[in-house]
Amino acid sequence: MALLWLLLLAFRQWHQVHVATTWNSTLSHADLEVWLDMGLVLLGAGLMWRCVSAESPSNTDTFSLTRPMGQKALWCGKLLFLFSALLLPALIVMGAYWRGFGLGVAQILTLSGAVILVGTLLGAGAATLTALASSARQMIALAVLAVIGTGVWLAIQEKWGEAVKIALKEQHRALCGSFVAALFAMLGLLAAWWLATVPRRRWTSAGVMLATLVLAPFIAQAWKTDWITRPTLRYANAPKLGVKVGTADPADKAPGRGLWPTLRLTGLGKDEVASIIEFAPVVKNAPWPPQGSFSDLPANPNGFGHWLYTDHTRALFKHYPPTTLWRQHVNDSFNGRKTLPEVLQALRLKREEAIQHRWRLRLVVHELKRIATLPYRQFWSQKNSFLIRPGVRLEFNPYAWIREAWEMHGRLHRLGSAVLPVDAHRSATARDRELRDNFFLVQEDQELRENFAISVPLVARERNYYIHRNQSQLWQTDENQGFEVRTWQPSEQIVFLQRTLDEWIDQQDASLWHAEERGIVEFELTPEQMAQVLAESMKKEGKKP
Amino acid sequence: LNLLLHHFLKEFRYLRSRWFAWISVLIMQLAVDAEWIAPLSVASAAPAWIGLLPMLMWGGAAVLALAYAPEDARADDCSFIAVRPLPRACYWWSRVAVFGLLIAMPMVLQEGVYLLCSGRPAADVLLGMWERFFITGACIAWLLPMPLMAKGWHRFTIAAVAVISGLLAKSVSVTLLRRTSRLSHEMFYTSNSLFQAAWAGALLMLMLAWWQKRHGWSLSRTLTFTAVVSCTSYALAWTPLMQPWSWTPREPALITEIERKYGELPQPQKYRFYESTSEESTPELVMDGELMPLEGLPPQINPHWRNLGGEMRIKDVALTGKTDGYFKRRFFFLPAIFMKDDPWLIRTLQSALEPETLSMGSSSGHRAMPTCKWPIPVDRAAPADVELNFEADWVRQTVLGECELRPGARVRSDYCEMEVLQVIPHQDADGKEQRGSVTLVFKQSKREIETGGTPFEYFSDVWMVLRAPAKRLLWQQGQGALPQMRGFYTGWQRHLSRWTFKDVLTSSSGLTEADLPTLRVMLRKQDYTGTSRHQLKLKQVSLTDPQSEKPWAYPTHPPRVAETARLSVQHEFTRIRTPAADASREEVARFLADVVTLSHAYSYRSDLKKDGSPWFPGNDHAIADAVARHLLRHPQVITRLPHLIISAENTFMRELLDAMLLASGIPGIKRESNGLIYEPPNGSSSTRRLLNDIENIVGGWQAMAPAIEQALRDRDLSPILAVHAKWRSEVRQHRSDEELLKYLRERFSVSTLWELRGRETALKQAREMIRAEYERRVPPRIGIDSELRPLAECAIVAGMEVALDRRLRGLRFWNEKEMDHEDVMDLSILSRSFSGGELKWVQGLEFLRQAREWRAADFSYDSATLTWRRKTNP
Repeated sequence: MALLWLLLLAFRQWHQVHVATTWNSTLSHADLEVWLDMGLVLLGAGLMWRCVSAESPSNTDTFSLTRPMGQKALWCGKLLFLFSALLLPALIVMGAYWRGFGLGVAQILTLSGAVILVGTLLGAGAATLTALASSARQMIALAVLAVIGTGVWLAIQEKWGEAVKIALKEQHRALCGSFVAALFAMLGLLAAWWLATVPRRRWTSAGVMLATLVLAPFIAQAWKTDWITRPTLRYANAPKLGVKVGTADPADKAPGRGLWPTLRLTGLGKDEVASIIEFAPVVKNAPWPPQGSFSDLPANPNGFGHWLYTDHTRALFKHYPPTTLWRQHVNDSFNGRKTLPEVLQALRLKREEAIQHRWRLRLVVHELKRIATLPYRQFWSQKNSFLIRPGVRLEFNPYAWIREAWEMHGRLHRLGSAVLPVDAHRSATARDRELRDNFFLVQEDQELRENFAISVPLVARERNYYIHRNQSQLWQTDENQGFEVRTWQPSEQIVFLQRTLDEWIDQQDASLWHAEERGIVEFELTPEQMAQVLAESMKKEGKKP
Repeated sequence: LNLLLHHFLKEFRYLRSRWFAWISVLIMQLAVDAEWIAPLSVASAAPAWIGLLPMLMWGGAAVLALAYAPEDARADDCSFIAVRPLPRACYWWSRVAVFGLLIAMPMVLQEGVYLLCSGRPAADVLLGMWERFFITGACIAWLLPMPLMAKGWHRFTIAAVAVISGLLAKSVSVTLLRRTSRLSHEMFYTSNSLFQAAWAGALLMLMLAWWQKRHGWSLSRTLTFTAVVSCTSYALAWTPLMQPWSWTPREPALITEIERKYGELPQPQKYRFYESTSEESTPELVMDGELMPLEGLPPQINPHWRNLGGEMRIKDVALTGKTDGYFKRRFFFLPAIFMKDDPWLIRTLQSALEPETLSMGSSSGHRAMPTCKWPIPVDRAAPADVELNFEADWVRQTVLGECELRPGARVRSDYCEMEVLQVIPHQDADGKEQRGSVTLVFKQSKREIETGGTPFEYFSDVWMVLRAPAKRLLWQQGQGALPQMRGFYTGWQRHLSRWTFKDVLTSSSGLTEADLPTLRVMLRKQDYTGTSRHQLKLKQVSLTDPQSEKPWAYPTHPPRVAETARLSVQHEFTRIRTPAADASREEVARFLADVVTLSHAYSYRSDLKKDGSPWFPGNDHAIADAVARHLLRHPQVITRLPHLIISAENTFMRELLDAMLLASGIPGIKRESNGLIYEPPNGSSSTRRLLNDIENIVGGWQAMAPAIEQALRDRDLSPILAVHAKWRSEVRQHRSDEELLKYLRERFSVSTLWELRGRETALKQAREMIRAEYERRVPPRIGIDSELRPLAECAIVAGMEVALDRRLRGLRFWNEKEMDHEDVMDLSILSRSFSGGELKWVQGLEFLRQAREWRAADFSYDSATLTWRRKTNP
């Protein structure tokens, strides 16, 4: 039975990895997850039941009562069995899965602790029930009651879970609460098991178990401390950063990078890009940002979590020959930065009104960092995996011909303890959307000097999209944020150069770039400064339809 | 019998407390189903506890079947029953009596009382009771042999293993079938076939119990075999042995007649072959198209086509085609689902509708030919004989009744009853605001008996349509939510639903909230008529499709943007490495590839505004001239391309050719804003525009490319002029009536029809042909597919009032904000039918505003000029 437990654990782990990494996997349609989880719970509980019922302390006929062996020794022996047969296989299987994520000792210990906590909860719960039952009949009755109780509890949870969408901070508080409650429940169940086995006080034990089960949800609900949520990152070089307003002086050797021609930013690092989170006037006694505030990073309704836009592609230019022809595929919701008159229009302001107020400019700065440059062939035909930082890995499948195009599937894989965050800070948020790690895959044709920058189209995590697999559970974060890169061989090369697909692949390199957050910074623009920013009559360029 | 009765009473005494508890659950379920308590209500949601009742009802029945007094455990050789002087037959008959009297009978009686209280006819009550017995037996009978197999908690374990194995088998087999769709002749089980299989499972379980008792198996072996029996029983549900009772043809004679008449299907007018790639990355040749309608059949029936595969024969080589995807297989409710989107559905309801009622928003039709795939033939250029096998599932539509769209309105029929509870304008089924929509909240009760029922499960047998009689409009699609349900396990299901029809209260439809009571809700029922088999034979067909083989460029967006898109291109062009004066052909080709890539990257520079004016005025002459100098040395790089157009943005390629001819120094060539013109030094020429025509003439590039190459080589325009002369002669040539009619049949060109003016006999033939084609091919709905538009335009010019009526009514649904210059071109064709001229943007908008107010009846047709004139006294 213990061997079966080990095999089932291993199969479940393999299954999780398989469905997360295989496109349109047959197994992913079978919805085996619930069965496997249920199988594990039943098998784990069954294992402990077999172990404890062999010397049930509540059964007066049990042989151990007359054996020259103390009940303490018996209990300790059972506990050792729980560890070696139930917990150790789980730790071995899970531990093998945690490799390759660069996790530190603290993370490994916390993850292991979570496994031990879950296993002990299951094992101690089953053991206590078994110890309290004097016969198989009682055991079945108790098990049925437990199953019904769990089912009702889960149904209630599901019903409430659907109705209320809670904020991230509240989720973290609930997670902390559940962790503390689980610790309490584990101790309570162990105590109940001890009481049923060593002093053989059945009613006290049953009382302790019931009290534990009743109190644990209350503790989870009442818990207030959230140690998971990290603060957002402030831009470290903020003092060096400045804004210049008004038309740029041709003699100025450091005119700064133009957010608009009359509003420029100075002091940004070489590969840093500033994106406007909000830009709007500050009106007394009115909330900020007001409706119509401008943002480079608007809400993205199309289910994608990628937010890189043209400014980020431009930051790559300096790393390549200036004669490179650039093409890009970036976030569709960004359609060029609005002109200042359009910004005013969205805010329903006229220039005269606009320059009466102070304006606040909230920016987030990202730095484009090269992760790797490889022959494109390596992306084409091999699996690739890049450790972005401890607990975060970008994984690529090789290209495959799917749905009439060459597609490369992959995922941003986050793994770590849910109660001990891997990241030191929270990602910046724009319009209720977390600006999490984003990447560029740049196809580099050295011969034709043509670069194609593809913003890796990660799906939005909040969407229940089929390539986003959140396998996080029980205080372990295990999230696969999927993406699909579709590629066609350029027809120009087929037509004019008669180049085959293999030749086209072999002549290219591919680089992976990471937009790493440097932090958030805010500026206040005085009415005088805004008068200069809005002084220039903006020429309305004919925009792309 | 006395012993049997005694043993049964003994069992009853043991079970009675549990049995009475279970009976109370049954009564509670009856009260809920009949809406005596917790009735269906708009005001409040269904109480959560009623969801537990079915679980308690069926779980309780299972517990009763598994329970027996401990001293009667037949699996235990030490139990009292082993030595009791009770014949084995008595024991088993008493077990059967426990099932029959204590479990099945209350279930059956509950169903009977429910159906009687629901006012169902006696025949339905009896059928419902019989089916409840059948279902109860399927769910419970297999548990009866358990006492023989195990004692104590082991029997629960065996039962649990049987259930879990069955459910696992379901997960795995559904997965496999979804993926391969090759295992069964039908797709997915129906609940009826599953119940039949469960009865077979009960028999297998009895045999297993007998075998197990005889050989004294261990628990693990018993569990293993139980799992095998459970999976086997489940697998039986997928086999033809377990045919659902409702899946029987209702009109076999009609099906025979259809097969006799159309055993071989009429030749389709539209089909194509194109290359694709399978999921396994294997190249394959795919055929799709549109099947011809089968005429002379009852108007109430429509088919749902499935392709069973076919054979392709090229010379002496035979290739076997395959169809995949589970939608190609027989699937018990798909035909009914697809009818909802079928624009031809309206024809099946015609007798209940005003003449010329048009459908709103229907999309796909049933005539689309399901695809068939073959391996790529070695000799694809050779003609092929193709034989395809089809099956059609025929569905008959019956109108059950209709009522007004107002709260309290009802539809009553033997099959179904419906009452409108609420009518909510501008809201969707989830209660969110949705302008133009109308949501109905209604209560519906429906017969749900397998015997004599329809195979269309999951509420796909009765659908609702909404119609506006005054406007002659019908909404056949809708989206719904099913918030509450009662009597799910009975022969008379009740539910409270919300159903939303979109785009009803719009300015286009001319309906407002005040018009809601004038609308009518119609219920249509779908019956399975039968399945017919057909063959389609195509002789000596071409497998090539030049349109699908043209290379194309995937649009991308460049990050470098100058002040305008045109400037961006010029700026980027300076970055491209220019080849040396003596560059090889390969280098020039690379240069050209680089430039064309750039052109594609900024292809949006050629985009037009809605009114047809350019977003970015200007041209690429400077770039074209710079490139042409290099191309002149190796013109083959461009002139030997199989196709000129390599993307939607094609003028750049022609500008390159223009620049090459200009740079060649041939006298008489001048460049104007829209291309080259030819003005020979020695006088006038009949050819003025040199290359612009190749963009508009079918096969123009293939004819002109060699001429351009030769002209460049010889520095002489004669080859190009010769091509132009040939084209002109073809246009001027007087085409015979037969040629014009043939061309008209293939293309439905309005100009060809106009060419027939004055040729009375041919014009009459053309009119008849157009009328027949229009009636056969143009579905009765608002809006016409772009490919059918030429036919619709021809029908108007040919004098079909119906076509004009549909076109004018369709114009009311045009949104001016979404119009572009191509729509104005369409309006120009219509304008000419009213003796108008070509319309520019502003005129087009004005014409649209006027035409929206017109009615076909206000116009009379002048057959001499093929135009429509306003009646003096309409």
